Amino acid sequence: MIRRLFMSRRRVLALSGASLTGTAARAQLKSGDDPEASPRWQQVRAGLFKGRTPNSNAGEVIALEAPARAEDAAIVPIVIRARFEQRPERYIKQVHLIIDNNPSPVAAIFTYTLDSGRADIETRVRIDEYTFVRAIAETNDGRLYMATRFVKAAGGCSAPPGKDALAARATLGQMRLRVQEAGAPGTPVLAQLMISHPNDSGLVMDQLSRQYTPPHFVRRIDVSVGGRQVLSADLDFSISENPNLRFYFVPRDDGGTMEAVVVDSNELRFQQTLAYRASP
Amino acid sequence: MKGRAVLARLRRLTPHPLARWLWCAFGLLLLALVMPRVPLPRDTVNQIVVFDITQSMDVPDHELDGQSVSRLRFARESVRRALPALPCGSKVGWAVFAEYRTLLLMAPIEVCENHADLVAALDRIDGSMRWSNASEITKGVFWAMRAARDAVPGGRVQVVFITDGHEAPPLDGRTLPLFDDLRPGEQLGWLVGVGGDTPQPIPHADKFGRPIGLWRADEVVQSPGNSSEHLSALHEAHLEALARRVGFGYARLRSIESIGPVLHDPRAAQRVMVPTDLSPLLVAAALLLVVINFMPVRLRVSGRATALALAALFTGTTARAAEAVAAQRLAPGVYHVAGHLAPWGAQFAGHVANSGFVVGERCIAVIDAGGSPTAARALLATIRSVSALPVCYVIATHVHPDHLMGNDALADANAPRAGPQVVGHARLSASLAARAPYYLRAMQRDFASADVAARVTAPGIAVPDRLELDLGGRTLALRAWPTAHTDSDLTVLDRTSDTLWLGDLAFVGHLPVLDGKLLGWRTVLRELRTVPAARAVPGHGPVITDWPAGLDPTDAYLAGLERDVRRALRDGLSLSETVARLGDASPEGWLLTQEFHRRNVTAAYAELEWAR
Repeated sequence: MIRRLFMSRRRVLALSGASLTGTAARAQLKSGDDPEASPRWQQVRAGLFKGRTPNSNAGEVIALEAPARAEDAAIVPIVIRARFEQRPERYIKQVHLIIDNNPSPVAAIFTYTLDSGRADIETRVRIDEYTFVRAIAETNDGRLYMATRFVKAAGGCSAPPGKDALAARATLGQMRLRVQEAGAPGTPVLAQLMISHPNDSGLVMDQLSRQYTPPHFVRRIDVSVGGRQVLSADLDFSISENPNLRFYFVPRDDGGTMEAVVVDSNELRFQQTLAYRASP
Repeated sequence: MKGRAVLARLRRLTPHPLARWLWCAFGLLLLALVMPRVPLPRDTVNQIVVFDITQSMDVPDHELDGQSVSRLRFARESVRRALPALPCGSKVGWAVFAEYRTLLLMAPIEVCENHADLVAALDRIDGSMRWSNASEITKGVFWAMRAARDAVPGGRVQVVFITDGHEAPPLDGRTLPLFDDLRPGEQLGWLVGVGGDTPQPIPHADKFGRPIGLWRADEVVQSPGNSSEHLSALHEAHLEALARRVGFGYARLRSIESIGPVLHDPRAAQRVMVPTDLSPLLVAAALLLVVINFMPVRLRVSGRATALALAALFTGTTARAAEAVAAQRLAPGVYHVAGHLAPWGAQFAGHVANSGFVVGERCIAVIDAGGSPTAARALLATIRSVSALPVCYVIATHVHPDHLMGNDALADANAPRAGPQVVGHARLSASLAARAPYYLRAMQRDFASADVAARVTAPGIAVPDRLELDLGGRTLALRAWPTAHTDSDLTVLDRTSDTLWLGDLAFVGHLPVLDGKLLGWRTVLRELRTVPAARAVPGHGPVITDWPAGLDPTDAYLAGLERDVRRALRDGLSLSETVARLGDASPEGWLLTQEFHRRNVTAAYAELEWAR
């Protein structure tokens, strides 16, 4: 399932690569433009959803929060909130985060389970052009719902990393995992995963060598609790340096261990575990 | 009769004698506008300049402006400086030689109309273009003859082939036969020798053009009984012999001017009628009328300024004449041009950052050319109202567009002499390479079209740590700092007047903007305090006279930001919650908090969450 999705994402990437030359067409995007008419979105929709049109009346399913004007294009906070908790009768299977005008528009695909509790996510992205940002949720009945925001930001993907490169290499793969104090049994608990990683987009030129830094980014995160999957994420270099995810999970009654496994585009694998106590 | 009636009428219209002179000037200007170009005979020379781009041309055995430069750079620079002296109507094209072939990059085009394009293309010619490491120069010269013959069918095109004569693999005394389709002497041309007499090691580059040391003796094809092919000097005897064989002249590029006689070879000259624009003469006459009339009416135009204005007119710079902006003289030879307190945008044509300039005995240094070509040209007009000395350096204090998008507008500040060199932090090039496309696009999107920069050139002089620039009789001490406001902050200290330019390491009035590292910035501020200065110029806001106490507000804001963000982190707030909590505050005593405070919170959060 995941594998198939990843493949389809590859196809989308190939598609979007072909249209990179059409920068003039997307340079003049304005906030008043019709989000459906965006040519990048049409390509993504064809590749990722086989042309299905998500219901853009998503208010009952998900909400997308993004600033109208990004303060810093390399660190644009994005919050996706589910409007209901994960229940067997109705839950969100997957959320796609799409940034139309980024060099690689599919920024992330988050996959949730019933153990996620809530299909929420908060992270930070780079934004390369004035663009529509979309969160598309697929519910367990196979329907698609899309929330859209227009964000004014430019230059995030090739912004030079804020830290110096050597220091970033030294701490590569360090992780911090945090879990908020648990509430009543069975209620979702907020967790945070921080990964020290340059998440190089491959779009920054090294002036000395006249070479582009090879892309090196976190491409996959799996978080499980007591051996049960609560979140998996396929990511791209649209995610900011030092990827940071806030998400929910339902703790086991008897406490347990949270495990996060991170794999980057160089097939480096990092792992972190955290023992948490159940609610009193 | 009719003319007299018109004159009489004019006289009635303009009773004041002074106004009459102005009408005449106005008439001349009108005439200049409509005047067609007049064909005048000129001696033009068509030529293809061939640059040897093989690896031996990377040997740095020439000296230019006190720096050692490669043979190729020296060759390029000498052609570039000679270009403006070619008569209009001449055509020049560029070609490069590597392996055994000479390939035409740019077919000959007219030099006056296309000067900027020719120079832009010329500046890109370098070793990274070479497609092979071999260097069979003899064959390359034959290929160049072919290229020149075929470039302008029926026309006369001279070949100027600039090389060090280093054949690789070595010829070992052999001579190669001329190609069948060529005849000795049928093609006009010159071989121009470049390089020193002492054999030097040759820099070794990998296939991407990255330097990887020097060629070793066992890595190159050696001649029997001689193992010095990994060293390179000018092979003058070889080039002279080759020139005689094909009927070319031979000249050596001893100094930067040596190329002149070659490019002006009378044998290659063709007398053609060139449409010539004479309107500057009319404009000059009009200006003279205006000046003469206003002189006694004390317009405060000093004789010197008049001379400068006239000089500017004849060098053609009036076409882009800009209004000077007010400059504040901080000390003898030290000037400050204040930017508007506003975000960088169409308003004020992007002139929102402070600029400055320092006049030495030999030349002038500009500190931050401003946020647009318009701002930079206004700055130049101000400079020219003070001094006619060449601008030798344009110093960029950091990567932000409001400080350096004007840089390229100063490239012709000394025309027809060479333009200023851009100086910046060692990391500025990389930072600029990543950001410049977005800055340029933002200008195209938001600025009036007349204010948009076409490009922004990376610094030619990189400062890794400290550097002194000599302006003649006064020295500027430059210092590159670790990541603070940005990753490319550079300060400038004029040792004569103890004036310190801080770039955006300090703000006055305008809210500080964090685009680097908050903790790094605070460390830099502590160290800056130890710099002895009489006054300091911030990137935005009035000059700091109370030094170093003038740094306090910037540090206090950063300290407050650090405290608030750390508290939010302790409270477990996410980034967007933190921006929501702190972002709407408007820190007291600052302007533009709406524009920049939220950004600062965002950047500080991303840095500090890992600093715990």
